Amino acid sequence: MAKKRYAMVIDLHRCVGCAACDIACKAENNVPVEFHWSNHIVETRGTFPNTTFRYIPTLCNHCENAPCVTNCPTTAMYKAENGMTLHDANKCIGCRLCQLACPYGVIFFNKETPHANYRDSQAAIPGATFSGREVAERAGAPLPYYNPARAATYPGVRPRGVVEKCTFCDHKVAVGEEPACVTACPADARLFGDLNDPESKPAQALARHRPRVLQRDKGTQPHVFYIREYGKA
Amino acid sequence: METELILTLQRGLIWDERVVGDLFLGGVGVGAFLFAFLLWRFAEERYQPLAKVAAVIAPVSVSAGLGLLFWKLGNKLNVHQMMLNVSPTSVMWWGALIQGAFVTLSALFAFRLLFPHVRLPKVLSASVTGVLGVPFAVAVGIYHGLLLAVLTSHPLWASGPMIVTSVLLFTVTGVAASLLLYVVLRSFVRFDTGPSDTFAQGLKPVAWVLIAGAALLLITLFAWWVDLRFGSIPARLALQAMLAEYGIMLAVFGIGFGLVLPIVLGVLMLPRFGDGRTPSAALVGLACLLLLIGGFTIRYAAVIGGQLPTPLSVMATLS
Repeated sequence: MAKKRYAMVIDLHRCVGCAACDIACKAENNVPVEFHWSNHIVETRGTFPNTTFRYIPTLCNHCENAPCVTNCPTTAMYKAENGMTLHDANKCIGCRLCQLACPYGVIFFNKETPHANYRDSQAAIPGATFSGREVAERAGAPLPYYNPARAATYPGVRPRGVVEKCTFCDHKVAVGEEPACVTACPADARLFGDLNDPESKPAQALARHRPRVLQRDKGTQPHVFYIREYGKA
Repeated sequence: METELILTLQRGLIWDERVVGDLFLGGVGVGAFLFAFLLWRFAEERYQPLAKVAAVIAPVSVSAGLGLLFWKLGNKLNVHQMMLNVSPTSVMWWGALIQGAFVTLSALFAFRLLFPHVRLPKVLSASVTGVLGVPFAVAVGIYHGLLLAVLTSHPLWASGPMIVTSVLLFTVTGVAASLLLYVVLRSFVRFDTGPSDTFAQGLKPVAWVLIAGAALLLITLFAWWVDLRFGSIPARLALQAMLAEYGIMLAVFGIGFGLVLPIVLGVLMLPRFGDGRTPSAALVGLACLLLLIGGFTIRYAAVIGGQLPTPLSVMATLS
């Protein structure tokens, strides 16, 4: 049986730009508020009434030829057998070479211990609201939306001094589920699956529509493909 | 209305002044080692104090640079992972190996030059450590350019002239740092009791190396500019952004004071090398100091300016 080659297809025509993917990702992966594993580019063009709007969801492209992997001096960034580009926080020295090598800006560095707002004793409205620290303490977790399932394959909250990035929700994929951004998408704009399986949703979508990728000229061979166009049939 | 693009990226510099310091000091160390080796191997006895100064600069400077890089690491306690994991595709991994070897060899070489009468195995002689150190020195010099040049996501770095610049910078700054320190030591601490009026006379070839190195640096910087100015759209945009932010600094301190002025000073001093005359030590020191300032400025503009964010129009290119 052929090895799996996981990929994601984003149907820009279906995407409504609601950013549910971004929120779901943060909740699933305990991503700090200032980081964006799941992100988006917003483009506004023209003068009213002749304006166009484009919304391109972005995430780690899990490139076939991943420059973050090639340049990592400790093999902390690595290609898994199933095509995912993953990160071993225990090997990471925080040199940030991967961030410099990645042309997509999807790798984030924990300069400080993350989720500082949930260690803050200052209430938003003194005498009226809890402080972030109290919220975390009452939740019994580093942050109130902490998802312990994330810790199955990657530190639940990544420590200070290391980078972090999208893992295609490898902990969910490992138990036969889809990434959180795919599940959360209300328009079914995200298709995730094994490209080596011709029956998989992404393989079928790519057979029907011309695939595009971000910054093709970089030669990274992304595993996140875009089909169709925002707002156009 | 102009096209507006929004993408929230992590703010701040990824590699800061500490990395500039590492690359600069690494270059100084490598150049100083090669200078020390050449003086020790080929120059007359009166230049051996200068060789000793250069030999000491080498391991100290590269180690200081590595110290800055270590300080920059986010997870310092994990640094041993570089030794535990083989990553042959990573330039930084190779860099760690060759710099480790270079620091060891250059430190041994300096020790042998300073203490020639201390009994050590023959394998640790100045000849062996010096000859072995030369290829490592060249490799470290190339590594400093290659480290940036392989990052194709940064058009300012991913170019041939970046590697050539690195090689020329180590040649020029290494020699300049050695001469400067020597002049200072001689002037203030009577470090060398040799014939003070003749030491500079035989340094005409060194002056030529500095002048030629600085001139070649000017040509390489021009080639770098041409490569980017007439290159791809991202390259042009990156050049534009860097020049807008650091152009004046690069032009004034990197090129004007850092290269052109030392070349002029060097050419003016050339006739004073030999014929029983000696150029002013202060003038030699000034020219060397200017070269060091120029070298640092060029590194700074390249490293910091090369990290200015990629225009979103490039990042949003779907094809």
